[in-house]
Amino acid sequence: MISLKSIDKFFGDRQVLFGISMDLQPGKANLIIGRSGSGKTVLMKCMAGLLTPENGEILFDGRRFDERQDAKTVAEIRRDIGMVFQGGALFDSLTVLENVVFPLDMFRRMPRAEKADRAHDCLKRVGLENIDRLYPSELSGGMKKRVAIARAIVNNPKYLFCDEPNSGLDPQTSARIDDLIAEITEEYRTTTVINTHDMNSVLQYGDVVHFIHEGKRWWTGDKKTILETPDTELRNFLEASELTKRLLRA
Amino acid sequence: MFKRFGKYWLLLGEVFSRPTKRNLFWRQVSDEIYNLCISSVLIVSIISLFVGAAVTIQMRLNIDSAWMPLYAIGYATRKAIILEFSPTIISLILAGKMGSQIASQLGTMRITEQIDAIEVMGINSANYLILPKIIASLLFNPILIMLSIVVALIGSWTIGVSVGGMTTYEFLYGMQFEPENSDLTYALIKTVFFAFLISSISAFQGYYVQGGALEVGKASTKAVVHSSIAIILSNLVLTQLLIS
Repeated sequence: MISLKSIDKFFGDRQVLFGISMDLQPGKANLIIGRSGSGKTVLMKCMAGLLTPENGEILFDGRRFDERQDAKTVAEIRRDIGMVFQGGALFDSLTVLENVVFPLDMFRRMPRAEKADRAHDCLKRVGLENIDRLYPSELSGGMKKRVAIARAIVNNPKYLFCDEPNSGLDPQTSARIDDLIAEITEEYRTTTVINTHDMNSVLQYGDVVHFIHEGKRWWTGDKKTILETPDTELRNFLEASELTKRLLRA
Repeated sequence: MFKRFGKYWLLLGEVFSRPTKRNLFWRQVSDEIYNLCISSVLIVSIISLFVGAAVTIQMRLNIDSAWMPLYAIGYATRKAIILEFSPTIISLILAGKMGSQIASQLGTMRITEQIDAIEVMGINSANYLILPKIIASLLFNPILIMLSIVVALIGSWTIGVSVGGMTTYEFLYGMQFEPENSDLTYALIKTVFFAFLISSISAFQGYYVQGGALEVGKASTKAVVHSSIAIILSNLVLTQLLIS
């Protein structure tokens, strides 16, 4: 389980996260929703160790994940993390196969052929085959996201972070990515954390849903309870989507 | 300014740590030698050929005296090329070419979250991305400068013999007149120093980019300007230290 305890984050004098505490359930899809600029990405970057919160603690299965923790434990936790970035963040200078093999090259001692087999398995898992030699610039947005997912799962992570996996995708591709993340969470039993403002994703696989508003954890529930919420801010957020607007009215 | 200077030294501290995978590191160094250095061979050769020729024409016009032997042109050209033109001017050219390439590459990686992707895996991104570039330029820039010296002298000989009224014998006599190995050593020491400045300053500018494409462009410009200023200033200090 990932536990956040009273996380504060500042950029200069501007505070963007205000004492956020939450527990992210193991083996489930934990969705973090909120408006653009509400602090979702900052919160995820704090969890992934890319930003250091000024106050508070982040615990991965009870192990503190910050500068005060010993380097060995931090490295162990990092190796258990897979992350899918908003734009994919594939390495431009590497081919698709090299991108997926990259984490194995860095941390696994195994024959090259075995690494390639493992990468091929992951690419097959995300529905991509025979694109080994293509470069990221030759891929569509949806393919990039799927390669990024393959790269994130190649090391069998315990924790999978996905930052806005649907952004910039058409509804059909977006639904495929949603299905894929839900299946991977189920299959690999990963603790998956997804930042999104896509209400289809929320209603499809929101086992646990946290609503972040103005840098604060505002509401916690799941895909069933979210439509019954009396909270005004959350309802305003939900009504921005035509789908949830109709469901709320129904 | 002092804050940024401190940040630069802190970055160098991260850069010069043990690489995560040594065999991968040397593969990256060879990639960087190709991307940064070998791709500079053509521009270095063209500039050196024509500037070597131009220096000879200038020398011919300025040493046009009955009291001065013609071989003095070859001698003075050799001195100018080895001591100043090749190590300093070609390093300035490389600051433009390599500096903007390094800064824009790292800047783009930063804004597209590729550096974050490396960090998330627990890899020291500064070491992984910047150290191979510094090592590649430290290893290969001296070779580029040696090439520049040779090509500039060929340009000088060609123009000296074809339009300068000299014979090949006079030119070669001047070239070999009072040979000093220390000149070459001085040129190579300067080159190595400048190579470090170009790669590290440009990497610093690119690595900390925040924003979008506009900021990457600005970082690229800053990389060239700052490296060029650093080269010119350190050239003065090194000349004073090494020659006088």
